[in-house]
Amino acid sequence: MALLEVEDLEVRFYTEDGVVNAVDGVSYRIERGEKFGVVGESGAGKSVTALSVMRLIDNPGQIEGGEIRFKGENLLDMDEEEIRSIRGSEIAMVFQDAQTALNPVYSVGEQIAEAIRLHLGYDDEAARDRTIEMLERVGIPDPADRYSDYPHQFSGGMQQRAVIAMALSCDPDLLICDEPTTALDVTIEAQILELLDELADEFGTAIQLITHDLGVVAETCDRVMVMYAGKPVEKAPVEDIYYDPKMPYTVGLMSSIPRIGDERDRLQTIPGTMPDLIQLPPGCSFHPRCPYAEEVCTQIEPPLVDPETGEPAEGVDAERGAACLAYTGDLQNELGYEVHVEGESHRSAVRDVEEITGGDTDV
Amino acid sequence: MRRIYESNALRRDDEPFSPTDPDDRRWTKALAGEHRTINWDAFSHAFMPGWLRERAITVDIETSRDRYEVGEPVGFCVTMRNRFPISVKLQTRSPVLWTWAVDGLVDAAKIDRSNPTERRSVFSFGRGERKRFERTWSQTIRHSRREWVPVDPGEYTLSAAINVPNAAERGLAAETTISIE
Repeated sequence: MALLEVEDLEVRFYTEDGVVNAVDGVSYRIERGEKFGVVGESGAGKSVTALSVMRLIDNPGQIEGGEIRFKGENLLDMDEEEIRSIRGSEIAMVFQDAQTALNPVYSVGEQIAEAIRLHLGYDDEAARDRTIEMLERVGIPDPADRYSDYPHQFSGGMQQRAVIAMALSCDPDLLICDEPTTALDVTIEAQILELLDELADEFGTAIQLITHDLGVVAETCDRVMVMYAGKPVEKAPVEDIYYDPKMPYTVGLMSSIPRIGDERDRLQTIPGTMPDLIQLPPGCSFHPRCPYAEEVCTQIEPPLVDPETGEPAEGVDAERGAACLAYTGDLQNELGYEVHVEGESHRSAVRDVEEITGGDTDV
Repeated sequence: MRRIYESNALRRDDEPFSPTDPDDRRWTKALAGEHRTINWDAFSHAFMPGWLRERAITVDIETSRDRYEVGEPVGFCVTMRNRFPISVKLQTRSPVLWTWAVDGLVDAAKIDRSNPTERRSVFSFGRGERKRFERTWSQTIRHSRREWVPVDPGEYTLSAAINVPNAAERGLAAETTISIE
């Protein structure tokens, strides 16, 4: 049994302007100790998916369908008390903006100790000791002295470390990291990612890493799900995503990664923007931005299928899937991009030397 | 440290209700709502009869043109206005507060998702409030979850309605006709 199984999740937000289809038919699973990446642009539904797992979707949002099974139990069937006992202790979350996640009027140490007292039942002294130990583990210098510091006395990187310490303090089985490095500079980003990797290995914690940075995914994750407009558009092991992307959106994301030695004057981008989730375009949601779109793409929404066989791959257990009509036999022409890979070790090579070029059009 | 509002710098007069007069607590009470005679939101919701609330709200739909070419997206604007100087709330059948339709097909789809749950909701209008919503119809009809079919040239009726039973009869709907050539 997988640690987490999300099956056909649907989340909508009922606003005055209309119904926002934030997550539509998302399925995936995370095994124990696995690092699973969720990537996509802003508004793709990555964070809403994560918040749904934590049952933190608030009005006007509503989880309208699907199941979220954690260790075999459906989190959506649990009452508030049961979910509170799981939230923070068995599933923890590292939020994007640590400064907002920390309460400014409590000391950092006290905020971490509170979680430990609540979930592990430690007394004040023991909770303080474990907090200091966790602060030390995430690399806060002089943790005993910094215990009583307030969030504003910590730098951005230290705040993020403190939030990670808080998330790991109760030894959770699943850690959801929602863009944990977005607010940080690249050197601190590298340190934090290394730290997460190290801690996950040490504690055997599974990680769901949400990011829009494919470089981060390459360095950290085992499997990846690419999301667009609230739907999964590609699922694959990380090597396949980088060496053999099947969905034009994934190709566009890959070609947007700046590479050292690239002689182009301008950075590659995917033309256009994410569609309005209140009113998605008919057919494939990506077709207005896709250089390979044909008329049929405006009429049929592609299901997630195995790109080799064309068999449905929408279930929880599907390893490889891409949502493009090219794999269901509906597209007249082929996808005209090529992937050039140079170098030997994918972890080091992916970010810098892989080159993806569009056929007739820039992707 | 002496704060600016603890000094005399803001004390302009000795009039009652002066916000800087620390001795007069009526102003702060008024700010806190204690001295408001009526909470109009609650009042209108509790005492205004349904038919009167419905009279208060107008719905209008307009397109930029009457004729469109085949395949050309049809942009339209739905305007709702509360004509009364007090706030008005309407109870809707579901959290979907209003809907638009093409020839009676909600969201131009043969799958109706206008009432996904049985949970009712409330559509609130402030006093004299005007709400505007913009939509674009792609000249297709959604036949199933994954399939859209382009429409043929002809006349089509675009409508918008607040999500209450019999919206058209209660004056909470509007429609306009366009031609696709």
